[in-house]
Amino acid sequence: MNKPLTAEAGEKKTELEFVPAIAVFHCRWCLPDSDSVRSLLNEEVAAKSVVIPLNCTARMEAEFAIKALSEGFDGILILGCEIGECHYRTGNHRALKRLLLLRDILALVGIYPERLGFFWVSPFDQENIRLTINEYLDKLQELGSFK
Amino acid sequence: MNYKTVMSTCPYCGCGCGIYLEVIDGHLVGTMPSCTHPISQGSLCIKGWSAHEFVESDGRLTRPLWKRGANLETTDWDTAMYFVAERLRNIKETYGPHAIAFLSSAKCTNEENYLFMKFARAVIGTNNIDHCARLCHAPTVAGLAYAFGSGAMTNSIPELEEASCILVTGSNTTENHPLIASRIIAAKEKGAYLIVIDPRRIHLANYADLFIQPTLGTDVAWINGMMNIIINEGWHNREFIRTRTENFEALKAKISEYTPDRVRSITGVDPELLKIAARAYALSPNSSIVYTMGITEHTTGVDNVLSLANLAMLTGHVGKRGSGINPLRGQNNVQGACDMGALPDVYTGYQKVSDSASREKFEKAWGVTLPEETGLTVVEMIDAAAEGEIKAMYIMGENPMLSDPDINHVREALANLDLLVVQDIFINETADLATVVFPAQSFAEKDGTFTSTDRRVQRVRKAIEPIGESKADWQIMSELARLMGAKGFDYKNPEEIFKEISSLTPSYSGITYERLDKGSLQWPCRSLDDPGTEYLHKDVFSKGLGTFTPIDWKPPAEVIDEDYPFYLTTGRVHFHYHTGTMTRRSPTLNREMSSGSVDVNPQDAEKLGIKEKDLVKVRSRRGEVKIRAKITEMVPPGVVFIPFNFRESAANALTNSARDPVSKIPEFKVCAVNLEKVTTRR
Amino acid sequence: MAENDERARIEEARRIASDLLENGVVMGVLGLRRVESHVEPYLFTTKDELRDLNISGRYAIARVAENLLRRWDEGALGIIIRGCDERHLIELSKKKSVDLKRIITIGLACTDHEAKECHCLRPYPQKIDVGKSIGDVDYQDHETLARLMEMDISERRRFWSDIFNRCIKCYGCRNSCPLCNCEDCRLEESRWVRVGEIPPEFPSFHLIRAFHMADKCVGCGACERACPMGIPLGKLHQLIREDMKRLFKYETGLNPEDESPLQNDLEKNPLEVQLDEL
Ligand code: SF4
Ligand code: SF4
Ligand code: SF4
Repeated sequence: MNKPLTAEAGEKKTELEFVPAIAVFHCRWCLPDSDSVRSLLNEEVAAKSVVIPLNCTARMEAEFAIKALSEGFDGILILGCEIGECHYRTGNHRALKRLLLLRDILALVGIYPERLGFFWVSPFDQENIRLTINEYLDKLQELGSFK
Repeated sequence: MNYKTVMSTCPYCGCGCGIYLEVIDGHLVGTMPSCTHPISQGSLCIKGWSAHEFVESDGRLTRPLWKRGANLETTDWDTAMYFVAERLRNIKETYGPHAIAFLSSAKCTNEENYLFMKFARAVIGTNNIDHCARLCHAPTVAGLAYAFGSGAMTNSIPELEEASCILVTGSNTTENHPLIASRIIAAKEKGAYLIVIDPRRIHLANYADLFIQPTLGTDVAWINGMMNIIINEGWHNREFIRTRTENFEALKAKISEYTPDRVRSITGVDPELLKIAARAYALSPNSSIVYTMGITEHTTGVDNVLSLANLAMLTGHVGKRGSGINPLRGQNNVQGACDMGALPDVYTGYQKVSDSASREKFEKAWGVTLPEETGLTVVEMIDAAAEGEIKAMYIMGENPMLSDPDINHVREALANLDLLVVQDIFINETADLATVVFPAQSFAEKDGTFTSTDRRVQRVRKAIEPIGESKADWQIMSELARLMGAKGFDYKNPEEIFKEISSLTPSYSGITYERLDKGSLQWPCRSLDDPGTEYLHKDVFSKGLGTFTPIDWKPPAEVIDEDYPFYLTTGRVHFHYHTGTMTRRSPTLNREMSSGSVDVNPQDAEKLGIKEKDLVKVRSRRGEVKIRAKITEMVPPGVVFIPFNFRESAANALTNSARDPVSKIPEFKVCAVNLEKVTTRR
Repeated sequence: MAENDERARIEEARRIASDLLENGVVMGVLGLRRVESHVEPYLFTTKDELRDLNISGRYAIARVAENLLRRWDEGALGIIIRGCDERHLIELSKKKSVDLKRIITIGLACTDHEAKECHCLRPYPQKIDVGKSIGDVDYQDHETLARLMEMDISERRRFWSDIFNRCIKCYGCRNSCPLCNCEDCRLEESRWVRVGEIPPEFPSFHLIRAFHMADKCVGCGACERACPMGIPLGKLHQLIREDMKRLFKYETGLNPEDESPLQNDLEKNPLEVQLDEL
């Protein structure tokens, strides 16, 4: 029922100097160290962002993401274990469902669902994580500021 | 086991929402909006939804108190009553009846206000009776009565939806009259043009088609400016002016002095914007004005009201469905307290004390001789108490220690009294100073009626048994009167009092409890088959012809200078009611907001180095308060705002008690202050 | 005719309620009564009182039932319900807020006219005692729903932030919803929604509530009716219900044994959509 969401009807056009502020939530089983997660962000972004460890992405409540938007963050990035790799077996299943639903709700009220990034990462592939994060940040660049 | 709902009326604001009180096994557990009620229509604001919370709260007064040494101690009813009766009699005999003054309450029922004023006039023999309307809409009562012959809201709340243009000025409607704001939004959805004119960027401004922000205290100037444009463009309603009004030529001459350029220099308003407002207001088929304290609480309060009346008559926007002038009354029953004659110059239904026919009528009904001379107003009472002319005050359900201007002066005055009787449901700042405190009942424990802002008389119904030994105000007054030997105070219930009111008050004469059980009735309602009056002044004004009054703009009593470079304006906030006696005891409301703050514009904040939540000292010529700063665009540069609801940061330590010469309202809305960051050492 | 029908339905409901009271199987029967000009929720405990029984008026009465059962720890409660009330009770039971074993329902089927007024899809309870079911209907406000969906994303953002900003934080939406009954409400906590501010910040207040209700809401529309500022909350919830169906094939209010997909893993409730990328 949702109309395809296209980027050209942007909330705000990209400005060159726009640096998104993001809230990063990461599972501490696949990414134990918040500092090294932070080091995956470029400096300017890191300066405006927060990095918060979770015991499992199942701990990621919708409130965290919604409140982050209210507080002026432009995106929320969630990094967790791949399906099948969860320390608690299925914690990330529930996280996945909740986040899919939340994305739909965001879209309903006109917030780009892409602002809510959710990625499965493998601890053995730092380069891939960096790439994923960069792609996500590029997307946020394109969407512009949330406020 | 038992569960019931009791249909009653919200005890907070003048919107007059219908609420169900939910009672389980004798305890009040919740409220619910009535779906069939004409105002609430299934909705309430947060105050209505939590109206049950304060009723059974711990702090309720359950026994009479009297002062022993420096402290208030509990005593029994008989002792307290005899003591008060005796002291009142003494003071009356020694100093005469005019040494006693009465403050009635816009929170109490009509029946109680009536009885209180009957007590003052018939038992004591003085017209020294007033209530907090003096501090809000006295200019409305005086101004609109002068222009139209009746000082009330001309239309009904539901009718606002039928307006095609609504001009809201000096009213933060969404915060203070939420269920009226709801109608304004509904009207806008139906296509009405919404104009908001306010020195503060209020919530409703976001939904306005046009928002104009004039300098504080320049209302007469912009209204005159609007009329200047209307007359020059020929947008006035000549037919209406010719057939329904008088004194137009004088108005026209005065208005011609208010050219757009001159108005700009006083108000800072762009003439182009004013012209858009003038056109929309004048040319829409059904325009309505909505205003509150931002218009009245000035030394020029009556001038401001008269100017709005001029504007409405000039364009013929009064006396029609959905079109008129609508002062929104604040308290749940402030309209009723005025209607009941809790004022120094009138009996019920605004029948003048100075008019011998009215006086004779009441003398006959009550079997006493009544005083002729007008009594003292609230602020005059306080002054007279300070000077020792008033020896005793009887205060029912009011808290002048927080609500009145210049409270340091109020404290001195009350401390100077020989006898201070306070009747309330909680100990408050005023009761602390009392000689005797009577424990009264809340709205949930008694029967009666409230009259809400659109002249709507509605029932209040008893839902639970009284808390402790508390008595209803009407019971206390009747018993005290009987104790003092007065006749005519043998009421069995509020209904009997109401019958007496209807028999003496033409505008209420068609209203009975039986009829009210079927639904609300709006006065004037003159006979049993009169359906009541939705809007006033149809075809003819209450006084015949409407009167135009030429008005000149005058600056506020206190203007800013080097020492006090900021204007302070005051008001209420959404989550609390007035002095917070009830709301601050409600967990829901206190959680939302537990302390006051001063609103400061970001530009000023930067200049003074003030950051969000910094402690600042606000000082005026009369006092100072320390309060946290809130940085917000809501106030323009040069203006700060403090709500008066909070005792620890009482705005009224700062305000000016300078008064309007006619209505005697103090200038709460403007005074000069300075602002300074409090630096704390760590 | 319609009035006769209403009278007959009241008569029938009264008879059943009266039997329940007489047999002593319930502590009381919760329903509506007419007093003078208005209709209000009431707990009937004697047959005499049933004289004033009424069925017009819309009160989400499951809220009262939950409150009563919580305060009295034993005994059963009779309750006169419509389809939406039944769905409330089923969801309350999933939340462990009421024990359905303590409830005896008197089910009332809505008339076509009533169903239309409520924009209802299923205007009958599963157990019908009074009236005849008109079956499934589709009286949704399609026009408004379509208008909301046709907007592109930036129009939607403008629409919703504008309309949410009307909010005066009366909590009427929460208070009127029988399912929005958590002991500690997040909307009241300053860490999630700033306190003392109107309008409440966008999007915290409204989206937190919307998300919490997503797997519970039965689409009764009580929240929208309670909103003094005309915010189309019911429509928002309707759209979210569609999402729940699309993503998880889940519908609320049908069976007390159903479990919310949000509580379960993917094996138990697989996704209904293809995940090409996240
Ligand atoms: S709008 Fe006024 S009368 Fe209505 S619930 Fe709120 S405080 Fe009470
Ligand atoms: S429509 Fe509103 S009131 Fe009804 S269940 Fe859903 S959220 Fe609750
Ligand atoms: S009912 Fe409406 S105004 Fe009240 S809190 Fe809910 S959304 Fe806001």
